[in-house]
Amino acid sequence: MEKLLEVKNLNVTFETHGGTVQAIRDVSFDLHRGETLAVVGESGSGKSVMTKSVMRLLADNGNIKHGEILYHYEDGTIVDIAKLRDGEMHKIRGAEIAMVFQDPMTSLNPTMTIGKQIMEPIMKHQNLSKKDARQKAIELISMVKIDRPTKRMKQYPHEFSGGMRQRIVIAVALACNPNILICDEPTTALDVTIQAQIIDLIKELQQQTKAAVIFITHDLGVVANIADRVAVMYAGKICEIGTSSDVFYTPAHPYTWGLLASKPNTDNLGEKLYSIPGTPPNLLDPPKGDAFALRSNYALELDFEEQPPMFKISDTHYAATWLLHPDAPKVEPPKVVQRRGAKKGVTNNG
Amino acid sequence: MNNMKNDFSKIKIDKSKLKLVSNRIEESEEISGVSLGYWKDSFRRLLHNKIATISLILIGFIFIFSIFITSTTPHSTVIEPQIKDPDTGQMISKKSLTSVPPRIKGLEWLGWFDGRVDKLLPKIALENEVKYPKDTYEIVECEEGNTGKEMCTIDLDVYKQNGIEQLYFTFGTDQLARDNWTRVWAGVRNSLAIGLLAAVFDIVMGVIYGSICGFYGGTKVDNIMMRFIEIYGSIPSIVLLILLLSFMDRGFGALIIALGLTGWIGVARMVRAQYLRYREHDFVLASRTIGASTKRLIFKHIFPNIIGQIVILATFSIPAAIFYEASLSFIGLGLPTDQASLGTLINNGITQRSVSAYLLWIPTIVLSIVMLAINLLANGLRDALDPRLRGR
Amino acid sequence: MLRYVWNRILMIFVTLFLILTINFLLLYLMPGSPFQNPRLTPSQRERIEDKYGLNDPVLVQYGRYMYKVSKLDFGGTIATNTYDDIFEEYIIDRLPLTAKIGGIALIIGTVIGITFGALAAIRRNSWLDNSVTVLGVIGVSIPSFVFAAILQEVFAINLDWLPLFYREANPDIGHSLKDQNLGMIMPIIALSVLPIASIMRYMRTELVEVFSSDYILLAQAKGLSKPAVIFKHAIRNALIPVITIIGPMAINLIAGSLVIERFFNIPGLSNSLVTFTLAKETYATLAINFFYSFMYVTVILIVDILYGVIDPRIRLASNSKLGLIGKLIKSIKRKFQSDNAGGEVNE
Repeated sequence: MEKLLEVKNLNVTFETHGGTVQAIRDVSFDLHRGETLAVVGESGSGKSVMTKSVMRLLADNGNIKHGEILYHYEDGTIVDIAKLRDGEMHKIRGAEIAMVFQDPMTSLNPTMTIGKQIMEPIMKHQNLSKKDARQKAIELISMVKIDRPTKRMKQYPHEFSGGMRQRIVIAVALACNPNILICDEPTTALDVTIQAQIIDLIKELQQQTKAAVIFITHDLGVVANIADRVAVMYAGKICEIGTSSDVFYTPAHPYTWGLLASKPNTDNLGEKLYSIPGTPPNLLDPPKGDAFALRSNYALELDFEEQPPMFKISDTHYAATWLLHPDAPKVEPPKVVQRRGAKKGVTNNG
Repeated sequence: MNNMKNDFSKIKIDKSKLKLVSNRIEESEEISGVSLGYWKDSFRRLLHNKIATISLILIGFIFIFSIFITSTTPHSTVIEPQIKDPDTGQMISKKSLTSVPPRIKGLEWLGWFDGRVDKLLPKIALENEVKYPKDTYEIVECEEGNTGKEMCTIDLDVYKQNGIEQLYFTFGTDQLARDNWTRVWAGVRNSLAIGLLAAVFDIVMGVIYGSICGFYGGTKVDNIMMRFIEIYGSIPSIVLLILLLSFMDRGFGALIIALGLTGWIGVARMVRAQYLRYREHDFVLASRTIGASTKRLIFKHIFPNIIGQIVILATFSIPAAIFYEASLSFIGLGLPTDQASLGTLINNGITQRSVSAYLLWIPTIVLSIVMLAINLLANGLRDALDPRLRGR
Repeated sequence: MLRYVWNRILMIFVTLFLILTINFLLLYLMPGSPFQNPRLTPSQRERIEDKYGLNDPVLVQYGRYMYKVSKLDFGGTIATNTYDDIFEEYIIDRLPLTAKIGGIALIIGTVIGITFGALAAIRRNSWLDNSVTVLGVIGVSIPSFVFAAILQEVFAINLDWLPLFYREANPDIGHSLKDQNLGMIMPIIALSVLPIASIMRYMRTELVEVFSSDYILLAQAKGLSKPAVIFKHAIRNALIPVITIIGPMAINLIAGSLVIERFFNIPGLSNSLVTFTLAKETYATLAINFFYSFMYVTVILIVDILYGVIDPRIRLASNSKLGLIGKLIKSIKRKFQSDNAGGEVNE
C-alpha cells in the first residue's frame, strides 16, 4: 500500500504557567492511501494535539519539540511538515490534508454565508474563477446530501441545524479533494441519530474520493464501525496499534483491555461494567515508566522504572507493554476481552 | 513501522523485575491537590496578582491615612485669621500664609518640596526691597518683554519672603491660607466616602430590583420592570444627575442620592440575567426536584453564585462614582467649594494654576493614583472571582 | 435590512417621546421648578403662569407641551427679562459644536481603539500588547480633565503650539477659522482618551477570544494565510461585541464634555447646561437634556445599523413578515433578551 504520511518520534510540548506539558511523547505511525485509522483514548490523551500537529494548527504555546511528520506528495516528493515554512504549509492545509472539527455549532464563521465559506478553499487552492468555484460549491453541498444547494449558498450558519452544519464542514474539508481527511471527534457533539448519518456520509465520501481518514474518537462503537486500523493513545503515547480486529479481538495492552471491558456490549451483558480506576497522569511531570502502570491491575515492577518499547506482535499489530517480553509472567486478560477473542472470525465486529 | 523488529538482545533490562506487583492506585489518588473553597481560592488568586495586591495595599493605606490625617495635622481646614507660631508663640498673619508652596523638612534638595517658586515679574518690582528682600530670591534670567519693559524670572523662596521659615507646609497652602495637605486628605476621604456609599446604594437597589425581575423572569411583572429600566437607562446618567442636583440643595447627601439613583441599573440587569441563567442550571433544577424552598433556592443556591459578580460590579462602581463626583464638583454642581473633595480641589487648582501650580497638580495626581489603584484592584478581583473573564 | 433600519428609527421615536414625557412630569411634579423660584416677582410669576397655562388640567398642559416641543418651542429663559427663546438662542448653534467635538472624539476613539486593540491581539505578549494593556488601564481609570490639564500644560503653556482655550472664529478680533480648529484639537484628544482605551481593551479581548474559536481553526485548516484569516474571518466577528460598547461610550462622552467644555471655554451645549442648572433655569435644562438624549439615541441608531450590517443573525431576524406593531413589540423583546445576554459581560 502507498504511504501517505509517516510520523516518526513526534514530541509536542506546551508551555504553561505550571511548566512544560509533554502532550505528545515519542509517537510514531504510518498512514496509507485510502485507509481509515482510528485514534482512540480518553480526553487529554493527546489525540487531538497529535492531529493538530499534523496540520500545524497548535496553539501559540505549543510546539513540535522533535520528530518528523513526512507527507508523501502524489508525485513522490516527500516534505517534513514539522519543518515546513508557513507559506508552504498553507498549500498543504485544505488542499492535501483537510480537517473536520468536533463542534459543528462553533466551527463555521457566523458572519459569512455558507457558500462563501465553501468557496474559500476552492478559490485559494484551485485557481478557479468565482463562477466555477460557485458551481463546485453547489455540487459539494448536494454531495453532502443537503437539499436546495443553490438557495443554501446564500444562507448563514445560524439557519442550519447541527447535523447540517457538520455536513457543510465536511463539504469544506472535501472541497479540494484532499488526500488525508482528519476527523476530530466529528460526531461527539451530535444527536445519536445524526451521528450515524454523519459517519455513513464520511464512509461513503471516503470511498468516492479515496482519501485516507484519521478518525479521532473516544467512542469504541464508532471505531468498530469505521476503522481499518486502530491506534490507542494514553498519556501522550500510542500504547497499542493494529488492525481493527487485532485491537478488538486480541488486544495486548492492559489499557486496551480496560477500555474494551468498560464498554457495554453483548459480551458483558448483565455483568457489572468495568471502570479503570484513578485518573490519567499529569503530563507536566509524566511518570518514569509505563504511564498506565499506576492504574493497571497487571503492572510489573519494571513498568514503574522503564518505558516499555513497542513490541511487535504481528506485521500489523504492536503494543508497548513489558507483558510482551518473553521473560514476563503470562497473565490472563479480563474475561470479557477473552470472550471477544474467542468470537474472532465469527462476527465481523463487536 | 514494519521495519521494526523485536530484537530482545538489544533491550537491556533487569529481568528480575518482570514480575507482577499489586495495584498502586492509591498513590495516583494522592496526587490530586487539596480542594479550596471558592472565596479562599479567589483570595489566593488575587494575592497571586502582584498589581492587584499592591493596589489593595495602596488603597488600604490611603483609606486609613485619609481618616487619621485630618485630625493630626496642626493646621486646620477652616479659614482662620491667623495661626500661632509653634516656637515663639507669636501670631502669624493670614496674609503671610497665603499661596505658600509645598516644603518638606529634609526633602528640600529634591527641588519640588523646597518652598521656592519661579516667578515672572517686571524688573522694576524687584526694587521694592520690602516686598522682595534681596536675600529671598535669585534672578534666573531677564529679557525684554512684549511691552518693552524688562521682565525677570526669579527663583523666590516664599517662606523666607513671608518670614515663616520655621514652618513647613507639606503640600503648601491655597489662596485662602488653608493647608493643602489637610484639604487633600479630607478630599480623598470625602471622595472615597462618596464612592463607597454610592456603591452600597447601587448594590442594595440593584440587587432588590434585579432579584424581583429575575424571580418573576418572563412574566408581566418582569416585563414592565425591565421596560422601565430600558427607558430610564436611555437618559444619559450624567444628565439625570444634573437634573436631580438642579432640584436639590447642593451637598454630600444630594450627591450620593443622585449617584445612587443612576448607578444601580447595571447591577439590576446583571442580577436579573444571573438569576435567569442559574434558574435553568441543573443544580438548581436538581435541588428543586428534591423539594427545596424558594427562599432556600435564592439564598443557598443562586445568591452564592452571583455574589462574586456583584463584588466585581461594586468595585467598578466606586471609581465611577468618584469620577462623577470629581466631574460634578469640578463644574460646580457637586460639593460646595468650602467642602474639600478631589473635584473641588482641582477646580480651585485650575483658577490658581498660574500662581500656584501645585494646587492643581497635587490633587490631580492623588485622584489619578486613587482611580488607578481602585481600577487595578477591580480588574484583579474580576480575574480572581471569575477566571473566565481574565484580561477583559 | 431596510425593514431593520425602519424598526430602529421607530424605536428611537418611541424613546424620545418617553423622554419628553419624563421631562414634562419633572416640570410638573418637581419641587423647585421655575414657578417656585423665589427670585421671581409676583408679576413675573403671573406672566409665566399665564404664558404656560399652569392652571389648566394636567393633560391639557401635557398636550400643549408636546405640541410646542414638536414645533421646537422649548420655552424661554426665566431669570432674564428678555425671555430668550431657548432653542433659537442657545441650542441651534451650540448643539452642532458639542456634537462635532463629541462625534470626532467618538470616531477617533473607535478607529484608534479598534486598530490598536486588534494589533495587540494579533501580536499577543509583544511590547505593543503590553503597552496597550498598560495604557488601556490608565486611559479608563484617569478622568478626561486630568488629561486636559496635562495637554494644556504641555502643548499650550510649555510648547505654545496650541491655544490654551477654544476661540470662536471671529474676524473682528482677529480669530481665524484656523484658530478655531486649532482650539478644538486638545478638547477632542482629551475626550477621546476614554473611548480609545475602552474600545482598545475590549477589542483586544474579543479578538483573542475569536482567535481561539473553532471557526478560525477551520479557516486556518482551509489553508488561508494569516492576514486572510484575520481580515476575512476574525475582525468582523470581534467587532460585533465591540460595537455594543459604543453606546455607553457616547454617554461617557456627554459626561466628559461637561467638564471639557468648561475646561477649554467652549460655548457648547454642555457649558450652557451647567450654567442653566446653576441658575435653576429648568426649561433650558430640560431642553438641553432632551437634545442630549437626542444625540445619544442618534448614536444608538448608528450603532444598531452597524450591528445589522455586521451581524447577519440580527439583520435576518427582523425580516419576518410581521406587521409594524408586531415587529415593534418583537424588537423591544429582543432588546430585552440582548440585555440578558449582555449582563454577562459587564464592562
